Amino acid sequence: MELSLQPQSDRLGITVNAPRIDAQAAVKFKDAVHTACGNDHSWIILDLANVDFVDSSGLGAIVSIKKHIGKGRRVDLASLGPAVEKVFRLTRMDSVFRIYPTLDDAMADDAAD
Amino acid sequence: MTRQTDTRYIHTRLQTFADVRHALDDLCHRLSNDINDATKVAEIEIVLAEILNNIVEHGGTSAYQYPVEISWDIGTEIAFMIRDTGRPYPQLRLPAPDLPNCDDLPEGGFGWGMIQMICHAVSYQRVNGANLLRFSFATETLKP
Repeated sequence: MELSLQPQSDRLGITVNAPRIDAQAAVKFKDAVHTACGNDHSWIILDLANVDFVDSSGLGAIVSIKKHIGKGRRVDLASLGPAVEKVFRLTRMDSVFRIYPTLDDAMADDAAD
Repeated sequence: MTRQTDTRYIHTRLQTFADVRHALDDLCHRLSNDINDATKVAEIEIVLAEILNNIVEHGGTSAYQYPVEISWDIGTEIAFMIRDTGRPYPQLRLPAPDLPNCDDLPEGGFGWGMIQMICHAVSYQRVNGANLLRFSFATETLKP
């Protein structure tokens, strides 16, 4: 799973360069993001601008990243397309992430709490 | 004008999640020929993805000895039937559609909740060694 990283002070933007986070991709996605997260940033923003489709396995993988990122660190999301946003809304998982319109919006957010 | 009901189908062997991806690609392409609404096709894709992934994940070896039969009638609504020869559903019934509690940061268990929220008239039968799942979508956006 190819990722683009944008580190900036306390935060790390991770852009997912794949159209689908589905049952086939979920484990590789989770491993790649865990590796990319490292330990240097307290705030991870997953940019899903290039992702058209997330199924329940992909959703579980995204939640897993938040769950296992470690204390004092946060994970949020940016750029959810309509089909991806629908999955988060239906499962109410949109309530456990802050969702930014774009990665730039997240990077420019000074009021992180 | 009353729209005639047309039946479409795909028969496909599903052994891996890659097979599911391929089948979904095919299904979405076929659905887009009849449904003039990308949002509706995307919703149907979510439901089909959950059901077909379940067959690969829980169906066991008997699930891919025969093709999975996916058929859909397009009339005043879109009514699907999926037949697979995998293991019977537990207790021979539909799993509860309950969603897991967000506060626990659940890493799975979303599938049936999503299915039941997106489509309606979901029913399950075990017939002659096969699982028969039926479900429907309302649509006002069929192409003439």
